[in-house]
Amino acid sequence: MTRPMTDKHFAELLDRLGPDLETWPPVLAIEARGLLATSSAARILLAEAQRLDTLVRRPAPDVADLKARILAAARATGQTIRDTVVPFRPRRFLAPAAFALAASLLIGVFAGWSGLIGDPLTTYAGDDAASLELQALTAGDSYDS
Amino acid sequence: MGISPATSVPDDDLLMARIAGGDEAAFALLMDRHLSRAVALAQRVTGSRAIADEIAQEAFLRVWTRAAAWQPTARVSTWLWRIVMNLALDHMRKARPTPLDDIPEPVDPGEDPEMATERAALARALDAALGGLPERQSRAVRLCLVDGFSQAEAAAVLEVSEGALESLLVRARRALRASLADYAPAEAG
Repeated sequence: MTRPMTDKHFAELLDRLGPDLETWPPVLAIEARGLLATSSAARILLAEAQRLDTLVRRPAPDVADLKARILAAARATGQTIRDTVVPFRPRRFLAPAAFALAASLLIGVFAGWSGLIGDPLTTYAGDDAASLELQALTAGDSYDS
Repeated sequence: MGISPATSVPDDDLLMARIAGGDEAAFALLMDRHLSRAVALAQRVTGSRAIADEIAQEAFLRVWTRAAAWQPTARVSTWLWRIVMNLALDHMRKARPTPLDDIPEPVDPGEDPEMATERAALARALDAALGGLPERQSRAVRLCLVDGFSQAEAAAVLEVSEGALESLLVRARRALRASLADYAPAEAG
């Protein structure tokens, strides 16, 4: 069980923590409010501390114009546009696709150059009559004449 | 991370996630929460409101463009103060350094003359209380007392231990209270 806060302890706390009880540790603030409810001396101490605080405290600077300037500058940086106009990450998808396309092209050129894949129009089809007929049709030749 | 159930207000982590998606409303809300103190911090270091505005703008544009890469390993505000602090210190390294005591507190032209006089007396008392302190500690105290930063924030930004900062704040508050009593004894009671 703790002893009730005294006027002297309250005065010390005012010097340490200032007159705004909202910023005090909760337990001390509760004890202080209990003291203030019963002690006129404590209320005078608090009023003096608040008056001192008000006199020393510099009024908050007027920043309305500055706020408007910052908002305009922020808008000019285009953060919103950047985030909404580019809804995907191009590199993630384009890079593998470009690589696959290039690889296919190289394999095709190499296969054609090395003869791995023959030209269907010039490759000999043997005695297969169906193959000869298809070759003639695709080449535009006519064996009927 | 998420929405505070008591107030239904999105916390800074959630705002950062929305900013990463280009949400301008979330960006505006984050500025509503932190822009004025970002300016105050930069002005505290550089002594110039115009330069402080430039630094705060640069810091918030970094938040806007780098929100997607941000990792919630620290509080958003602490991260932001660090950016502001580094930009301000970079500026000061390039410019001719000005001793902290030579940077006057800004004057509000619409302020009541009596209150302005009282405030000036307190500023002198604060200078006296912080005289001889390393610049980093002195800045941390001013951030708390004058610019409204929490002790944890000021300690984190200026890399001062919270314990050390707390004892410095005690010293500063007592000096200020004594000064206020000297200045207006009739009002003290």
